[in-house]
Amino acid sequence: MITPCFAIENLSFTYPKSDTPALENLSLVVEEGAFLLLCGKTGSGKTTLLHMLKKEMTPHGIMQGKRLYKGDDIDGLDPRTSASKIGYIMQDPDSQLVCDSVARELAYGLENLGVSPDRIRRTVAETASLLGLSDIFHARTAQLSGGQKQLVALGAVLAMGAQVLLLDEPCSMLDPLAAADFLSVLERLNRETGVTIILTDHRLERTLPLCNQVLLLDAGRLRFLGSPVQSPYALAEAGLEAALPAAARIYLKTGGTDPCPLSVGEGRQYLSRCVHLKENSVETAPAPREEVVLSVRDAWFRYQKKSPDVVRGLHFSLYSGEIFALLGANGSGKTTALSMLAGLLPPYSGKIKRLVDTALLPQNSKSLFLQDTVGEDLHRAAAHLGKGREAVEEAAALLGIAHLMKQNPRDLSGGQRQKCALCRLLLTDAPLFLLDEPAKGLDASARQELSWILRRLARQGKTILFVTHDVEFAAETAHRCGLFFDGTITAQADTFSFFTESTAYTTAVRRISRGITAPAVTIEQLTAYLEVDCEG
Amino acid sequence: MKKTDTCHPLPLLLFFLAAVLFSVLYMHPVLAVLSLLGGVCFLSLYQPLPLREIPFLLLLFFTVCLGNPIFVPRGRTVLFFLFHIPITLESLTAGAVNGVLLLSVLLWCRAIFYALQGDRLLYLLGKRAPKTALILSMTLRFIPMLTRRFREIRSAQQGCGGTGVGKLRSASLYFSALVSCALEDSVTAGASMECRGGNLPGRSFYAPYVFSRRDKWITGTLLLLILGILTLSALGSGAYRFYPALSGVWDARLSLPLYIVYGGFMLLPALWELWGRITYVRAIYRAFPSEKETMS
Repeated sequence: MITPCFAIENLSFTYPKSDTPALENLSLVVEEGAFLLLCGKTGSGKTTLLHMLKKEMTPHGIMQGKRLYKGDDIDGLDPRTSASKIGYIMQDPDSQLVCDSVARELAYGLENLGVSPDRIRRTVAETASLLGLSDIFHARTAQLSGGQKQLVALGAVLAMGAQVLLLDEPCSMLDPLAAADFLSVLERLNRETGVTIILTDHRLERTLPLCNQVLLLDAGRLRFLGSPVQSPYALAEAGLEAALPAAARIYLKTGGTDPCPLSVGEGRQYLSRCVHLKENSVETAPAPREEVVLSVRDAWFRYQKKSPDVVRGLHFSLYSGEIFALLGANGSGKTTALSMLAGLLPPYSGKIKRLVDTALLPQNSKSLFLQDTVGEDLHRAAAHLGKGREAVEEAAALLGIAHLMKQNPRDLSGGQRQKCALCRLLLTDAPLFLLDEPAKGLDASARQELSWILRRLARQGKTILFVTHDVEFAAETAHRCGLFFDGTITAQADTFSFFTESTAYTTAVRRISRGITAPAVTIEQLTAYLEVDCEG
Repeated sequence: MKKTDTCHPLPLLLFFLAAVLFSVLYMHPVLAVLSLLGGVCFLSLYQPLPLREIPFLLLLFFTVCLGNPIFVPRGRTVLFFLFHIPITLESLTAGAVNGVLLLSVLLWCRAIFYALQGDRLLYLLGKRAPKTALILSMTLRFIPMLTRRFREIRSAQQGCGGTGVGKLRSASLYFSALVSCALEDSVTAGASMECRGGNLPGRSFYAPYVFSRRDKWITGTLLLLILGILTLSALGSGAYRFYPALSGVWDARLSLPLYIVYGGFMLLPALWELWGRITYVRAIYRAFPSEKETMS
């Protein structure tokens, strides 16, 4: 019999100063070559479980039960074996890299193992070729994009000879394209080199179709372990429905039976074969077009005298009370355009007319907080803006963050932090909010909540413009959308027609339902056309 | 393509150290000029100085050159009096030689900065002190990251109504936020290092450079030239007196051989870079004869 890669028997773990166990009586066998996806809501113990599989990451606390790596107790593992064979990759691409250049980073682990320079040179070269890092081999790590940084982090553990990869939300800080690239590299490694992969991800739509095993945790207990096509019902029960791929959500809405479609292609087959349609119409909220709050006329911008133009003839207007989503690829200049609208960067040609005050939410909302607690920060900001404590309390109550006031902004979850940052913006009383990637790194439920909050703020009279990669988020939230390409907005329309007219740049629901049902962009719109009670 | 960049860091270090040492040690007009010439030729081929720095260098030269006769009123040949201070030819010459020496040392140090940065510096350190080299590498990563974070924090505050306090007070607020950011980052980085065996004993060092046959030849040539210069100096060549009267540049024994060897040494990197440039252009020209108009 082959020894499994990991064997966990009756494992329980409780953090110090905590009454409830983070993991409870968990038993699990991970075979070699598996691609296992750990799912669960925030705080369900996914990350704790991942930490349990790597000796160096194991937190302090009370542990019971057994955890074995290839038949050996993980605690008693030789430090060299543990460091080299079990690779761990973290969420933040920035802080897990150690060295200044890519070459050094790849060599770092091998140096620690005391490998001879000749051998290091060879292994580093092999790893760089395997992962396609040759072009950036001599680059400084500080200059890489997020996706490249994660690839380098992956290369750094692979170079050490990792046979298992543990990844804690490796894609949450990446844009969708970079995330897809990174995941396809993982899939290829798993298929071609037989590396065992265990990862957590909060956006199951991209990972569920790739993995071959799903493990669902709920409050530290194992709820489901099985193949991805069997998982949707269990995942939906655990409150993860919003995170599922669109095809699986359609399958759930129609009460489908095995096997569950996961990809867009499978979703189309399922929809045309197994679902009865009905006549219905979809109502879409019209964009309010009252008065212009911001108008941009033919604005051009470049960072330096001789650098290329980043914004090239930007031309559009924003109306009060609307939510405008600015979509576009990475590096297309969206963030630069946003800083221009906020008045931080002046155009060298053209005109930006800001008829109202603006407040800008930066991409990394951590940088908005200067103090040690959220409350201190917000009160300080309020005092500076000439407001009393009640203004803070009012804004906090509106966003439901009153209980977070004593927390350190760095300890908050992504969703909580985004809400606190919005609270900070509310204090400025600016009628126009400019948000840079507000949904980045949020899990599905936090994303839904944010979408809901933004829509409510718009109803209360705020105008919101946000920049995003996330078509689903834009489709759910915005009144109007614009595609930012080549330094300007090349297409803009109300959300529904924007996504129904676009061929490639549209939501998964639209891609699945195109030509099969009447136009639908979000899952809610599509369900209006479906006979919900149909079976198989 | 820069020929110097293809060279192993060890001979580069050997050359630059010797060049700076010789420049400092030889108070000799001809040798000083040769050193400056070598430095100027090398830098202009390797990494030309920005034009705006040249006035500063000239100012430095003239300050030293004219300052010397004012503070050191020695020498026999009085040229004129400045505020009752006798300005002598000898003192002026000594000042000029000092100025040339200073410029040449500055230029060679600049060349070291460009030619031995990043990985090459780490390599030179890493052989002896792998841990120091690692810390240096981590620091090199940290600086651009912190600069970026600082900008992020600043623009985040500016985009949101500002901090409401003066510039200095704001800067200190940003800085303290930056420090907590950096601390948080280093916790993650520490975990990441431990995961990859950061505290295992017996660390080795990755050297991306191979000491090739060509590097052996280069090192040999350099050693031969250095040995030649030292031997000739030991035989009495290279001595020069400024006071009370200037000695002639041909007065010392074996002057010509020293000038040739010293000049050869100082001009070696420039000649090598030039030769690299010529062979490169010629090779490209031979490989793509039809595209000669794009070559310039």
